[in-house]
Amino acid sequence: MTDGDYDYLIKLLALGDSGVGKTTLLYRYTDNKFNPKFITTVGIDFREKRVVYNSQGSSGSPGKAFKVHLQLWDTAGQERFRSLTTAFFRDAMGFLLMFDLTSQQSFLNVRNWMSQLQANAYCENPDIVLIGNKADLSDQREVNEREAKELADKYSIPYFETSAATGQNVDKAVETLLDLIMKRMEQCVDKSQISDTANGGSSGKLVSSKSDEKKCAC
Amino acid sequence: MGKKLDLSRLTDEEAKHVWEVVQRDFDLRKKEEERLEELKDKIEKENTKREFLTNQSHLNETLCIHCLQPFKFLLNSKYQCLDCHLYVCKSCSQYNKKEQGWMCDPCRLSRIVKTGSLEWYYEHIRTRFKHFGSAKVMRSLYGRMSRGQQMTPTLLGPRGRVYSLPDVTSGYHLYRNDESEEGETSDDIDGAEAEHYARMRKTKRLLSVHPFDFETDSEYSAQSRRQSVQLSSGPGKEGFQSTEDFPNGEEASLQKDSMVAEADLAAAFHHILQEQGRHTSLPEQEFSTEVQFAGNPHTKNLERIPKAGSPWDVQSQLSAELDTSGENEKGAQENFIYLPQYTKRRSQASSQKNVDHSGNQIFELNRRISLIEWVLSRLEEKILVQSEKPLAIESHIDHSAEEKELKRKLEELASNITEKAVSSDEENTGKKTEESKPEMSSSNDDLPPDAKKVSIPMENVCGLQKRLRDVDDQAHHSATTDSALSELEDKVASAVAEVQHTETKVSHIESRIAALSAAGLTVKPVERPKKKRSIRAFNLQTLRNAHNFLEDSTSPDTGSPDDFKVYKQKQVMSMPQVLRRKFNISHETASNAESFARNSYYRGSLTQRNPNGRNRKADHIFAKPVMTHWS
Repeated sequence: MTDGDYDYLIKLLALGDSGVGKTTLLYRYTDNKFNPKFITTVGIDFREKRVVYNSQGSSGSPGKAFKVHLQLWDTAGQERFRSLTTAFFRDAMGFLLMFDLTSQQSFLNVRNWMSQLQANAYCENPDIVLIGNKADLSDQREVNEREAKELADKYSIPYFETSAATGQNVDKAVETLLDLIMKRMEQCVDKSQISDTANGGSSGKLVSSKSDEKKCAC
Repeated sequence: MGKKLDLSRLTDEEAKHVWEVVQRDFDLRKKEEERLEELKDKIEKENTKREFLTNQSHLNETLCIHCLQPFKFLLNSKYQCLDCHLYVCKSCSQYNKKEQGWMCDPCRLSRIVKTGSLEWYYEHIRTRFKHFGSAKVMRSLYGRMSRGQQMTPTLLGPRGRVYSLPDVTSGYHLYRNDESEEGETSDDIDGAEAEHYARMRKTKRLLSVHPFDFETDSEYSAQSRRQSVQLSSGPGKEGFQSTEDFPNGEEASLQKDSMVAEADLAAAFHHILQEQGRHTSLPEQEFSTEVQFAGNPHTKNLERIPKAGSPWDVQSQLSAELDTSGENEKGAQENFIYLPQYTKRRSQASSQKNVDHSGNQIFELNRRISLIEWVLSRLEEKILVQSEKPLAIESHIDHSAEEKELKRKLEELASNITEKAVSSDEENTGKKTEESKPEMSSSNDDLPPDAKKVSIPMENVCGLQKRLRDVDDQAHHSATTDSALSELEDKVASAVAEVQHTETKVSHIESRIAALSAAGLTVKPVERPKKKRSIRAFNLQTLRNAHNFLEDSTSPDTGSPDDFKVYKQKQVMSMPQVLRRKFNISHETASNAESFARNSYYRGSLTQRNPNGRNRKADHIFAKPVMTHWS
């Protein structure tokens, strides 16, 4: 599974209340399968997947292709594992913050998870996507798209409504997150290259990298 | 975020599951680590090849630097790489749309590695936390799981050279150590007397882990922390700053890790280096392992010293023994660069014997300084010549080779000077201390003012060496840019200025010494053993220090400062005072608070090596019996 033939190892982590479908979503993503049975995650787990990432050039044209190895952390939503799972937040570069579209409570708890993330992730503003799962159960829906979108906008993170059962938007959500992370990675390296060049390294890239620094928090 | 992780509520089955997951994670990390290492090796090899090839003039005009295929009009046109500016053929490069230029494959690869090693990310983690999540959980679970099963040695990943394994190795060491020490610590430590503690450490040292490195949640660390407070309650507080500011050693290493981020800038890097030169405490700390070995009665341990035959050996030994887990390569290099400094200090310690010949020495000093000046001016010339043909990459290597030669010479000279300066420093110290010995035993901390001043030239020389290295590096990287060249010139000029400054200092020393001898102080000349000199000439520092230590401890009658301290210590029998003296030395040389922080950062760079003060103190404690023996 993990032969060394890849360019980047990227670590993502799914979090959210118990039963929102973190494990099934990841299972859908990695194996493209769906297991309707609810088996609570014991503390922590992770899955892996190899994907090809196409970096977008500035004009939107497909750029270079990178092989990316994804490590997808799956955390237990249960409170009793909380201290364990939050310890793993720092091991991920990006987060799939999930709630259950059929559970208002799980949506309300998104705020708590956000603050947990801010306290325990590698930095205060890591890359996050908000995911409302179980979109296929439209008759049981408790959270409407508008309020979820508003919340996501408040945190300025992307929002997706997914269904692990049908596979709807699952890939898209993960890929969006991956894209965010890859962008951040490039920015952070560009930034450090500026400092390199400023000190007598081979110069030449100062111009291009200065413009896209604004978001990078590192 | 030093929150304790309480996993006791997990059932055994749950704990086992988590343990397995964490192990899987470690495997993945290890693989990633190895992958990055491999890539880095590859890049390194490619760079070496290129360096060699670019040495052949105009080769790259006609051949692809990567595959060595000749360029042909239209058929195999050449492209200049964005990063390395060398010419490559189309098949060895890719077009980078974003930057609208071609990039050769090796440069692309090195960009990927640079991005993929996620240094910024790990910096963040280290800034915020002590350990990454898996490590933290593994720590908490270790006690529980290890009862059932042995730690598999395969889990010991490659020594933490790269970022993705910030502290795995330290983690493992801790666990292992934890296990091995668990039995004895529980009752032992409560005694908590400094001496006893040191004795205990003497044996534990061999495990190359300091108890302070234990996580907060181990009861052991709580106890040792208590000790640290106890030990530092004396006047020697500054020395313990790093341990007091942070709850334990881990924190200190965390602190240093966060500083690695800042050290990104090469300028800052060199600046730190220079500062470091003034605080030799770090390297001493590093070497205390061997020092400890020397003090250890077991010959087995003594046999290990010769291993440190070459600097590289030492480097590897350092990382092997000292478990430089959180450290990146840069850090390691920094440490390495410091070795010479350290040894000089060390030899200073033992070279106090050649107390006389001051006049000669000063003369020689002056002579050498002027030599250095000459070398520097030649270097400057070189650089100026280079600036006239800024694009002459081919010839660049030749220059740098010559520069290297010059640099080597200069280093040799400088190291000699350092010795000299140091020994005159020693003279003064020796005199003063003899003079004021009765009072010294009660107040060790007032260093002879002369000694302080004298130590400055030596530092200058060290700084100079670094400067030169700096210059050399810069010349290497930026042969193409005029601005960089003028920067170089500035550097050289300032280095020259520093030499002059040093010179004035030396003359100052001279006058001081003259004043002292005028005051009727006679200093007994003691011949420095020839052997030591020859070793020094090899400029292989590390072996020396161990060696010197041995000599120190076996020939106390020569009265080196270390011996002296130990002697005093014997008189006074109080740790804090000795410590105070020690740390005042390093502390006073600290030019500002920031530099001291840096220092403590380096102190922390070897995870288990943080408690600098304790290390040193321990040296002397167990060196003491030896001294008693002799005197």
